[in-house]
Amino acid sequence: MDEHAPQSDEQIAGRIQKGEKEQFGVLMERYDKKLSRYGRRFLWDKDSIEDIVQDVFISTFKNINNFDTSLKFSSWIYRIAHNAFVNGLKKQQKNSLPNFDFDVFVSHVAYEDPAVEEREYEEMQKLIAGGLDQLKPKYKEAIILHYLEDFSYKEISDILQIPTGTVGVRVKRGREALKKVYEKMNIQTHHD
Amino acid sequence: MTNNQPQKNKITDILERIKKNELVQKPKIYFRLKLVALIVLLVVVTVVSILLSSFILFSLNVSGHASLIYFGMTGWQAFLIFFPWELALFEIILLVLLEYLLRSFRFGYKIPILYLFLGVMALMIVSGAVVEQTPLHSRILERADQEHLPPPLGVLYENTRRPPARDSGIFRGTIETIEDSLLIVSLDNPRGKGTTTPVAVRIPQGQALEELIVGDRVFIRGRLEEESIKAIQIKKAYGHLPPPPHMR
Repeated sequence: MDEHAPQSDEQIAGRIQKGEKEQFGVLMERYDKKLSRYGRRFLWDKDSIEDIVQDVFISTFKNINNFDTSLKFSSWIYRIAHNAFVNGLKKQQKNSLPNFDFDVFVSHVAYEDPAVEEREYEEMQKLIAGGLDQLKPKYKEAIILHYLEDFSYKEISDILQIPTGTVGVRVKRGREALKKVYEKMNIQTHHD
Repeated sequence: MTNNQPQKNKITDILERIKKNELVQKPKIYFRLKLVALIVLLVVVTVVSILLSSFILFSLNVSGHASLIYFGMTGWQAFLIFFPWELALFEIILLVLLEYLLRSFRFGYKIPILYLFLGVMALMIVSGAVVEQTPLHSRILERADQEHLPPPLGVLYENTRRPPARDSGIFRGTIETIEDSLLIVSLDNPRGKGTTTPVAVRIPQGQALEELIVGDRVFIRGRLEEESIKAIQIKKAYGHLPPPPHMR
């Protein structure tokens, strides 16, 4: 095997599990900026974000033997990060993410149409930047993970531990809510 | 100092701590034992849940309370009053716990909460119905009759024999004699044990007598007047309702 060939996160995680602990540095390099950026969607204080990202890395390292290398490492580490940031948010504000949600009680059909997705992706990137804070937390996190962190519905389902159909519904409703926010602000969102 | 400096420091710091063994990975066996403990708990809760649901069905069958629904509104009222709601509530708590445990697994959180709950409930009821068909509960009931069971279980099983309260307007008993338009019925003691009171039951018009024979266990809907009941409806108690202890 070519030692210089880029390795997947899962392969590196497998090597760490086998004892190559220093390889954890590669994973930290890959995820440091991503997790800090993700943390900024929840928290404003840069120091708090950096502290939480550090805790996420420590927790990831300690629990790496619990990671199944046949699954996606990114979903796994984002799951740890998501919980850590939500807890950080709970500490900072009373109005934290609610645990109860009717959407997870029943099934929904989630269909990702690549053509529609691509068109809406660019549109949403622009929209998201300013209007996120006006969304309900459950829609906000789904929109962030799908449009800003570029995760599929299936991967988001593993990060948030909710059914894939529920992810689809949250992304759709979040998208509609975001469009309404911009319609109120009289901003053109789509050119047919 | 560049913008990346704090990140570099953080990564370097963690790697240093790893090298110095200040940060240690939890071993694989830790996660395996955790998984085994979770599965054991899941199995225990499942078994208790199946036993409980089978006991609820058994108690409805043994007491004959399930027959009450054929007495119209009064019967339904009595059925609902005598339904073991405390046990049903405990069963629901077990189902919620079961659902919580199942959601620890990937397949568990992929299924909507409501569907998972309904699926688990259906599975427990079906499994309970299967267990109810086995002699398990009958044998435990026999041990309860011989007072060989510890208090909570003993009381639970003895209570399955309780007939409806007399003021509900529904009586349970055993036919001793059949005459023209009169039955002599030994009513079950409301406490579920001990002697019974023979009463005369006036058969309602339209009741087909040929469907009743001496020794039948019956439910009677009517009004108790001194030592006789003016029956409005008489129904055989189905299920494997055993005779009261004094008749065995």
